Amino acid sequence: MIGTVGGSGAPARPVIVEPGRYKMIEVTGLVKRYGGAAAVDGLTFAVRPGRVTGFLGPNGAGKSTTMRLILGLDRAHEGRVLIGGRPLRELDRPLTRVGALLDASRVHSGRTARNHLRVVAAANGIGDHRVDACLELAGLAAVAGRRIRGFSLGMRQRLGIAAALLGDPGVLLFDEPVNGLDAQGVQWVRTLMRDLAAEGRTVFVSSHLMAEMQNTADHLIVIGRGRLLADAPIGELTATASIELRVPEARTGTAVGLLAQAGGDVTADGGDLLVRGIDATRAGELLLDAGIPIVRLAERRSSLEAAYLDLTGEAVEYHALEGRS
Amino acid sequence: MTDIRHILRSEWLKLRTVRSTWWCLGAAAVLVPVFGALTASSVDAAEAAAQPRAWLAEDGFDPLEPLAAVLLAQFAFGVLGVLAVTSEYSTGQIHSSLLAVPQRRRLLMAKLAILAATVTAVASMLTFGTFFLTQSLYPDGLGIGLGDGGAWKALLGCVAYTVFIAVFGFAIGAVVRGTGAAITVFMTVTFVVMSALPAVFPAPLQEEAVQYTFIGLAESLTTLQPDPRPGMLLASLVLAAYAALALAPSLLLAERRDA
Repeated sequence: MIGTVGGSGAPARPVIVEPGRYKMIEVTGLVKRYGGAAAVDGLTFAVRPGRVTGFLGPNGAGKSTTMRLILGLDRAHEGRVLIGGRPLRELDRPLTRVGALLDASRVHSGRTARNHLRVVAAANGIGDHRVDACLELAGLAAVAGRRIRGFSLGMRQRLGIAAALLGDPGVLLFDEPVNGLDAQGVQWVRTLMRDLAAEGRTVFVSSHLMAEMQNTADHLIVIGRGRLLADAPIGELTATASIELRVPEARTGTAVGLLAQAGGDVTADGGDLLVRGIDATRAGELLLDAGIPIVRLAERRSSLEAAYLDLTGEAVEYHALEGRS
Repeated sequence: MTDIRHILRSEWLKLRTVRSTWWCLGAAAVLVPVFGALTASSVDAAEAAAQPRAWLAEDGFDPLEPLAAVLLAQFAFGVLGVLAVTSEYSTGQIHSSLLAVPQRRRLLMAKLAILAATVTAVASMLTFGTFFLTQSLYPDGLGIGLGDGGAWKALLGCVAYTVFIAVFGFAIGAVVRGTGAAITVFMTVTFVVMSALPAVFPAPLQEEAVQYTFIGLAESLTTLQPDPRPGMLLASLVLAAYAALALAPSLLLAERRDA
């Protein structure tokens, strides 16, 4: 693999997947305090190329702060962030390495959309051709000459995404990108994220809505109160939670014994059993081998939403209690 | 490291793609010649002709009197300086800028360079343009040329002071960051603190202290009097020191503050 850090490519080059071009984000022991309270409290994780990594947490969990710290906009009290093994500020023409959409309302609204992008692009030697290509891509070509002041939140999000793509970077961060977008816009963002990841880029996208991630992300990093709660493939977080079984009531005792022996955690209510810790196939085999007829067998997959609430429940509760005092 | 030429190009685009720049410069471009012309045409020709010229006698006729209009327009240049920074911080645009240029001091200095260059160009055009306009408005024999009485030095001094006031506004903007607050601080320091400051000195020093306020230094830089106190060189150095002092906190804190 050949790294391209430090090289200089043509600013408006087409999207080409080069090996080693797409870099990992590595966050190590990140701490950020406001006053005495830690908004980000010892976060360590890595965001890998070639997939969409969702960044989830309730409101106030520290997602945006973490993103600002990754981008060097806010100063961390402890810890460090590396992008492709190097600190962000050492990167040559950073926009060609890392693109980001943070708060889309944070632009000078007196400029036209096109001038806004030109100003940003020029700072890294990116030409007007690329600006126009990004406007086109974001569906803003028709309003390119209008002042941002008149833009809806959805249009500003599109402009922010266009700005993130200006340098055709291998690493992309999006903070709540679907905020304010209509259904069509949401679909566009989802497809864009999937495509960017499919091209081998590192895509890190935050949301406080689990359902959004279910459709977009391959991998999830979940935080609550500035701490890491989960860092796992999305499939793992929605793995089988439990199975429901019905056996003849007379055989309940035997069935519970067998399943418990095999390592299951069983709750019985008459002939209805709720089993955790054993998958459906194994449970079925056990009971059939013992000659116990199975009247009903159902898998209950936890929804991502439920898994998320499970994970963050405590963090949110604590937050709410503290907020009241 | 981000290429300084790229940053300068971006900063130049930034400055000229917002309306406030054109409002500030437009205000100055209207105020200066109009007030200059009014001052020039209100001169009593007979009385002026009877007086010695200002570089010959302390209370002589000063053909550069209309250039006071440039100093009158200093608030417009100061506000331009303030807005050059605060329009980025107060709108949040600074996030986009820092993603492209994470070296904050470099970004700030590039921004300052573009502002200073722009103000130098505009102030030169206004100062020299107003000079030629007003000298031509005087009745025969009253107007002077660039070489008379060292007028060109006073004109350059006028440009230098205008650049200083824009840089000072910039420095205040870079520390305070909010537009409203920064303009308030700028106006307060320039017009209130600077007038009140001499009063804190013991009586014998007060007169001298006045010479080192902004307007006192401007006077030294723009006068036709042969021996201004402080002299032009010292006055320039003191202004440069004021500018450096005002810029220091934002440069020192640049890497430590959150954007």
